Amino acid sequence: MIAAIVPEQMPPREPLVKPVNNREYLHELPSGARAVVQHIDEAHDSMRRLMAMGLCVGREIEVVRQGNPLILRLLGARIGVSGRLARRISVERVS
Amino acid sequence: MHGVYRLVLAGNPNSGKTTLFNALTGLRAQTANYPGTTVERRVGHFDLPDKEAEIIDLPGFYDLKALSEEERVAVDVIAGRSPNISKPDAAIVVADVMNLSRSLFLVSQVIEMKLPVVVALNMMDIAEAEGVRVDTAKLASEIGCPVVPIVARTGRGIGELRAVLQDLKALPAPMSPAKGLCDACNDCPFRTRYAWTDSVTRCCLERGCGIANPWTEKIDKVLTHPVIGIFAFFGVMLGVFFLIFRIAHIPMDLIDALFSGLGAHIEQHMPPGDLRSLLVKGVIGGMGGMLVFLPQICILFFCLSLLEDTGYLARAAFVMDRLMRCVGLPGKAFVPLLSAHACAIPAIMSTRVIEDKRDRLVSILVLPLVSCSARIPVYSMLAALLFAHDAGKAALVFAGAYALGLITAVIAAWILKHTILKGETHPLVLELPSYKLPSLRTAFLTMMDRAWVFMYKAGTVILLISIGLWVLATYPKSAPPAEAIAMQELASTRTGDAARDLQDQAERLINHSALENSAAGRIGHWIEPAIRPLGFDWQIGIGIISSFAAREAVVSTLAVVYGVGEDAAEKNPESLYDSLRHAQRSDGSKVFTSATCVSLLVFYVLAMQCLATQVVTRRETNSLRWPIFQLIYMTVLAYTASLLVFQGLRALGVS
Repeated sequence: MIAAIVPEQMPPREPLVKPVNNREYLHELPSGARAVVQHIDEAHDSMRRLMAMGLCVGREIEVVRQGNPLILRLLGARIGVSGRLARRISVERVS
Repeated sequence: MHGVYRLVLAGNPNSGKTTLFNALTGLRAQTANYPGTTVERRVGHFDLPDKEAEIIDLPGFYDLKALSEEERVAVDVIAGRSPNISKPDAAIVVADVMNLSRSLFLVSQVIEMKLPVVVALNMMDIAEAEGVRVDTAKLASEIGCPVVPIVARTGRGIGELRAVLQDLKALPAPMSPAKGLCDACNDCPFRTRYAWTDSVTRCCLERGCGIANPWTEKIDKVLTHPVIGIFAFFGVMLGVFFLIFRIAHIPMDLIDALFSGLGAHIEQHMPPGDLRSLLVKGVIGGMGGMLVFLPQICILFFCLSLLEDTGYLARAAFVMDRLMRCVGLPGKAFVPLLSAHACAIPAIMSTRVIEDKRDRLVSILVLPLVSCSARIPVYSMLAALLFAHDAGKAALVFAGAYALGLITAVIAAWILKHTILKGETHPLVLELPSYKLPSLRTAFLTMMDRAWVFMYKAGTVILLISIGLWVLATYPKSAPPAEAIAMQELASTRTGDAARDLQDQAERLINHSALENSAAGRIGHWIEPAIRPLGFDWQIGIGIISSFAAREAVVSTLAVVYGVGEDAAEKNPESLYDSLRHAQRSDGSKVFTSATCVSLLVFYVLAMQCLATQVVTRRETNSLRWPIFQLIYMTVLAYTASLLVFQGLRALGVS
């Protein structure tokens, strides 16, 4: 019998490193920047898809190449993301 | 012997799901549509020790609960709600060990559907190379179902997978998410599920000291560059087309020779008459004309499959996205747009990768505007008529025709997206998988599948229309003209070459007269007033009608219509072109003036003359409305453009 793996209450996620900057949006980060997702504006179908691929509040991501579309590293995978979605993802940079 | 064991195969895109499917089923697979939808279904069979297994390859997706058509169809199939498909006995979920957390997201969703599940943990070879270690037993106990490590590309682990499938009866052990997880209760269902997958991944997977493969990053610096990437893409596609046109003509010539030989054989051994004519011209001509395009289609899909397998096509969609978006289409639409240069039919089928239904529809509607290979014989003929001895200018004619087709398709897409099919394109979310060596086996199987679908779908339609047109061109019959009879009588008094020439001449006259008096000829006369402003006469009218079977049929039809004889058209195109150049109307004026040729060229670039394409459009859009719309708008477009071109050239003083 497998014990409950998912707790009933989600503990607040602790960022693993200290954030160095104030909140900004994903499309504003330079190439190579790493950040933690703070908030995701309303979920369009495509945003839901990105979330199903691992983009949740609290997830650490890296901008591999900025642009439109940009390339994101998410859970080790490289994902091309349209600028329209990147504008709706607010992040906090980490060092 | 038990009954058939029904399986479904699920997994993320790029997880190696299709490779596993091919490894299990090989050639024992077919593609079809789920009834009532445009979602593609691949079903195959393989053997287990004491029963036969049937496996359905579900489309790749990330989230079973997503709202798009593919996910809903998948859910219906797994739950047993899909019409004509019984509830599966078990599911295989392919998990990519290099993307374990994300793979487990889908695994947990499938487990919640309450059927026995086995997880095939793929890409173990890459894991080993990069020093990633997985505790498979622990993973299995955390998930609650068997986990089999495999390498789908090499077949490693597939034996064990079969063994597990053989005995798989139990439902997965209860998992908290299955019982306690309420999607609506938490503010983010994704986050909740990922908390589980992340924790399982943390405890079962260990990243060692191995070095990740740097090649993907290096290559992508170039290939995803906004400018270089686009040039690279065009370079790659040019390379593919170059390959196609270089290699394809060998089997094409073979097929052509085969069917001509078959036709000649029948002509020798059957008594002359309608049945022989039907067999040779209608059936063999129709089939040969369709099969001759098979090599191009095969090579194109073989190359595309290789490119996709390497992971390059994702980069292509990525760099083309920005450009295509200006027109209102997603980047993924570009590959079908290019494939349509070989044949619109498989291109329309490959628009399935476009997720948004509206974008897919727009792509399907404009694809036939792109110049397909069937138009090449027509372009060749018109280029030769326009610029008899100037190869450079003739090449320009070709380039112009291709450019016109592509540009019109792009503009048409823009117009459609801004008028009747308004709506924003879905923003791009696309994984760029690591580059890997492509599998020749997968490419071969994909090629066979596409070739078969082309032959079956397009083939039957083309054959029927060829026969239909043969009927139109043969009946009603008429008496041979007096002149021809006189010639034949004269021929019987001569011998050798002179006799043969007279006989040929007489035959040409008879054929010409028969065609003129047949139903096709009458229709040609009937539409003449409508097409005269385009610079065409009733004879060209018959040619256009015959193109509805196959565009290139116009060349041989014109040969008959202008009394040149079909044999000449095949054996010596130059003599056909020469005769057409000199063809005159009854009032002595030249038929194929420059203005007429250009007008005819524009007509053939833009007109919808391939009923087989329409049949496929109907299938892919699931309605009659869109193929009819396609026919109407393209016909109006072709007519108007031809009219403007002809009258415009006339006004400018070009005869």
